[in-house]
This record gives sequence, C-alpha cells and structure tokens, in this order.
Amino acid sequence: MLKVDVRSAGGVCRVQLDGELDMETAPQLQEVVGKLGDRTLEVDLSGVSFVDSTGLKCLLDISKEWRQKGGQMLILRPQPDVAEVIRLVGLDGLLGQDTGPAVEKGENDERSDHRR
Amino acid sequence: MHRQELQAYREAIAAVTGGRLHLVSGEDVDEMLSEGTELARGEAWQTHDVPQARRVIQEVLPVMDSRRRHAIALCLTEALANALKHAGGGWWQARQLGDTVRIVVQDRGPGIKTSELARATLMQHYSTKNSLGCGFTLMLYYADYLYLHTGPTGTSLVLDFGVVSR
Repeated sequence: MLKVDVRSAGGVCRVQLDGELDMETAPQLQEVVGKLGDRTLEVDLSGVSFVDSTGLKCLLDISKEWRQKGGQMLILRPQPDVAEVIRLVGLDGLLGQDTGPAVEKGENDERSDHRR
Repeated sequence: MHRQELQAYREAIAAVTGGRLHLVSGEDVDEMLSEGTELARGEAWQTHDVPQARRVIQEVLPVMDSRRRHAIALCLTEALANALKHAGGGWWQARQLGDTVRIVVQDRGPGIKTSELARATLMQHYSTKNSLGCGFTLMLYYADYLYLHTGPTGTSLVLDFGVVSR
C-alpha cells in the first residue's frame, strides 16, 4: 500500500509518500511522477516504512529522468532503516537537506491526492 | 562443472564473503529444511504475494529489535523478487532454530548459470534482468549466513539471521 500526495508550487514539487515503496507500488509512483513537470522534485520518505530494490530502482530512474530534463530530484527524510538501505546501494547522493515543507497548507496552487 | 572445479569455486565464494555465502547441494538444503521448527510458509506467484509474505512473517517472528525485523522482511522480499523475476514465482518458509531465524526461498526456474554465479551474487548492481541488481548485495549485507543451491531444475536460497532477544 502506498499513498502518494503531490503538492506543487514555484517550480518545486513535493511528493509525500506514505506506506511501502516496493515492487507492487513502485509503478504507482512512476505513473504519478510521470505527469509532473516541475524543475525540482522532492520525494519525502518520512512516511515510508519499507523500500525494496525495486523501489530504489524506481527512485533512481526518476532521478535520471529529472537530470535529463535539466532538473533534479531529491530524497528527503527517510526513516533510519530505509536510509541505511539507500546508503548501502550507493544512492545517498540523492539525499537532500530537509528545508521544511515546500508548500504551506492553503497556499497550494495545485494539489492532488492519489490513493490506492 | 567438474567436481574439483566446483569445490574450488565454492571455496572462493566462501572466502570472498568472509565465510558467509556457501554453495551447497540439494541434500544440504533438504537437511536445513528439517532443522528447527516452522514459523510460517507461503508462495509468491504475483507481485502482491510479496508484501503479503512480509505481513505473514512479521506476525510470526520472535521478539527482536526492529532493525533485525526490517532486515528479515527486506531479505525475504528480495529473495522472492528474484524468484518472481527469474522463475515466475516460488515457495518460502521461515523456521526458527534456537536464536536463529532461517528464511528459505525455493523456485523451479532454470537456475543461475555457473558463468554468471559470481557476478550475480557478489557484484553490486549486476543484473541479467532490468533491475537495480542490488537484491543480493542487500541479502549479503543483512543475513549472517547464506546457502545457495542452484541448478537446471531450480534454485534454493537459505538465509540465516542471528536473533538476539531484547
């Protein structure tokens, strides 16, 4: 199960994930992110309790896609177990500094909720 | 592969993994499946069977710290993902032998070719399928001991995790 919440403003898109990012749910993230056009994509993993190698592959693919478009993707706030896995497979270069919520509630110029 | 060659290969793989990854025979796997007591078992033929297997195993694991619990769930996931990718699915079992939790994943796929075995198990980011190829890397990191039997009629992977009760 994965809940994907998208908030976008000023060229920065914050994708908040809740649940598990694995071989079952990764296509769901890929699909949602495929529709986004912002320059910077921040993927907030604070609500993600589990990521497997398919989930990591999905994050790597998204990051490559964003780089090709001249933008960047950052992974924010992974839980300790998930952060360890990210480091183990060498994706720690994608970890960004958390600068707080990109968009405050009520200021969203675009918001959508994708639940499965 | 000749017996002597296989023996040399086994020793090399055990050596480079610090004695943690062992190539074993089908009989060795059968023996490992008879040790200890069964905690749970299941099958995975579709992707949604994998998170289901994780939920089942979380319920039957003995008391342990959450990092270990996460490691076992992750390794079961990676082993089942390999079985799905390369063999269309397979069977899993969790057993307990004293302070050890043992995960066994078996499939009836074509096996890992001897020529690809070292790369498939030891090389980071090596994959014959379109994936990150880090599943085995993660299993090698988190499991204390790994026993692999692979041949033209299937692959069995046994993962042992030492569990310190808290």
